[in-house]
Amino acid sequence: MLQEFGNALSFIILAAILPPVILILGSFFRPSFPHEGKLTSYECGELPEGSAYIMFNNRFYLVAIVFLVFDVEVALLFPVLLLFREAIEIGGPSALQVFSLAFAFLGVLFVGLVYEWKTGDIDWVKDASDRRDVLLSHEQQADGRAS
Amino acid sequence: MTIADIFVGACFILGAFGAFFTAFHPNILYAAISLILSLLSVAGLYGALGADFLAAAQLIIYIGGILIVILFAVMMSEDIYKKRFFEGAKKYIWPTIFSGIVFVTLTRVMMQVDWSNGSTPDFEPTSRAMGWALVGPYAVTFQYVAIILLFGLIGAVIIARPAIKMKQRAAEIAVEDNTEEKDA
Amino acid sequence: MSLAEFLSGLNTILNHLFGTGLPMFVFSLLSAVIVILLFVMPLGGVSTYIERKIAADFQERIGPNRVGPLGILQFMADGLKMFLKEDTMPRNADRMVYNIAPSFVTAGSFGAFAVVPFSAYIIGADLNIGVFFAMALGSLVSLGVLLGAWSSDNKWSLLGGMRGAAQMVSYEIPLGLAVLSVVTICGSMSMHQLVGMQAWPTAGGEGHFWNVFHNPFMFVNFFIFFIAALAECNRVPFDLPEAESELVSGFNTEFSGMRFGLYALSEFADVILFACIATAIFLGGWHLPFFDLQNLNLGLTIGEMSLNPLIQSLVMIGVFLTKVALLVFIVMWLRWTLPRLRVDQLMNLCWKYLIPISFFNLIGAAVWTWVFEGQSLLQLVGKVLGVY
Repeated sequence: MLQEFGNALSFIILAAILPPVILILGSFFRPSFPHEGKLTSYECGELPEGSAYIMFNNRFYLVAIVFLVFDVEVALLFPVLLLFREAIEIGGPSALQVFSLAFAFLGVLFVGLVYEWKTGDIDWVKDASDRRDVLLSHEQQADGRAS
Repeated sequence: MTIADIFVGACFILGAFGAFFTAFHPNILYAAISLILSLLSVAGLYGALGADFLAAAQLIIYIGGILIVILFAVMMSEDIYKKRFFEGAKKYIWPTIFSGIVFVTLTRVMMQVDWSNGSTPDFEPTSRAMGWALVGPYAVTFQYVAIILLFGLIGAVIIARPAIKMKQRAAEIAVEDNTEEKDA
Repeated sequence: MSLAEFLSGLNTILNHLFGTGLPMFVFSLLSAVIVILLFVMPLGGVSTYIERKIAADFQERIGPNRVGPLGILQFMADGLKMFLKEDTMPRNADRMVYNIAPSFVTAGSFGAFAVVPFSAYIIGADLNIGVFFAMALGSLVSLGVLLGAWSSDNKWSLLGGMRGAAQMVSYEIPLGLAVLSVVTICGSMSMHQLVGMQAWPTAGGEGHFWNVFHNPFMFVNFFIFFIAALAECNRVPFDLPEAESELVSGFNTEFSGMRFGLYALSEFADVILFACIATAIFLGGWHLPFFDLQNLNLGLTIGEMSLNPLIQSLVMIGVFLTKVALLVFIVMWLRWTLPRLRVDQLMNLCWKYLIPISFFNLIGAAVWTWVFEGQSLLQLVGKVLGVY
């Protein structure tokens, strides 16, 4: 079994070494004329304005955390559902045991997903409530012009 | 000294380096990236010890999941290049004491074990054994893990919620102010 | 020292170092080199040419036709151009992260080819956690995208990279659940065994024909896997991270020359990888209907050594690559047909549609396996008709 790991590892190491090797090899053939215009960040032809680090946007973080929970679930379900067929062949209550335990695990987290869905935490745009201040200012401007 | 030994040694050294830089590097992003090195070394160690499933699970869960969460948090904090950690030696005292205690304890435990029990055994695939353990002796633990994950999930969404409610509240106040002005 | 002495000395050293002799060591390195450098990379390059030709066909124009006959050397010209281009790095870019980001992406895309079963005898590493290993390396790609985007010191890159990471990470779950349903039905994670179980059903045999036709739940799961794989590879209709019309070039705005070439190559390699995995676990890998390729015996020999494994392997590789080519063609077809999804539609699709559907498909597949003891639709029909 270690031999197979060695094979897989040689694939991974070769693949990881490839970019530095290709880039270093190319550095002997590439021109290199650093120029002010080339060194500044690209912003559609204008000079870059402000720092490149954007403000906190918590929907990315929330998606990452929910993903983490479901990722752990999928990873833990793999060894359990691997046995399902074997448990069926053994017969008796072991198939029921595997099935019920695995899907109880799945069900608990599915309940969490349903809860998030219902409370709207899983929406990317949360009920447009974080756009309401934008909408409000538009309404104010429209009222200002009308009156 | 087979290549497996060299690989395990490399994993140890790289893991130690990664952990060191994670703890002590002043730039928080570089600390998070050294964590990648550390976690990859742990995955390599799992593989070298014959825990095939754990090595791949380490890659999926830790590097593909937890590290992404950490990087999102780090990348979205304001002005991270300006934050410098560990300014002042006072912050080193208690961590050094506690980690010293842990180090001494672990070393004494390791010294008391008899490690010389011959060559490495023939490694067998571990996934099925893990599966039978999870539905057999550790079934309750398995379901308990599900409940803990559920707690984590719901806790995270609840913590992320007040910011939205506050914005909603601010918007409602603005609407009320608007209507008051019109009435007055 | 004669050659024989040198080789036997090398053999002893390698035996001591690796625990195996010269043949296995050479096989290990050579298989990695051949599969990655001589198969995946040229195929990725040719895919760029094929994509441009297919795009031209869909848009009723000719496409590249200058370089070489029918323009087939266009990808080499493009590769050479990218190789010789200046590698500009923005002044404020994070040097170390900028340099290591492509390594994660290529390690994830190319490294996973270790477990792809090209034929019954040719597989890089027959790990018994085959598909799980491929999924694990797929999660490295999202890390590489995020790091590369952040290090570029560019707002477009950061937005593209974060959206890309959020998208790739979300769609790993339907992907994992679809793979999990295959593992449930077949009872093994090893790619070699998964393909082996998809033989044409014969009396007393193990095969239950392709997994996609195993039961209705698996049929839907194939499409879920395909959609999730499209999202993992950042292909249309999910190519928001590199949206050409919105974010300039998304997360690879500041990468030029060969660095961009590596990202583009690993994106194509990702497409080919997921097509290979989908072929192996859903479409029967190297199996043909009605034939039993593992018992193909043409009786050709060289001296005393039978040529059967070689001929069988060639036919199997041909079948496998034909199926992979079909799936890659469908991916390219979709690129020039469908419009791009908006980011909230993308996230809704994953969390509100694909994940519940794949949950229920998993339960359905498990129930089917339990009730019918792992037999596929075809086997059941055959039993009813009395064929076996």
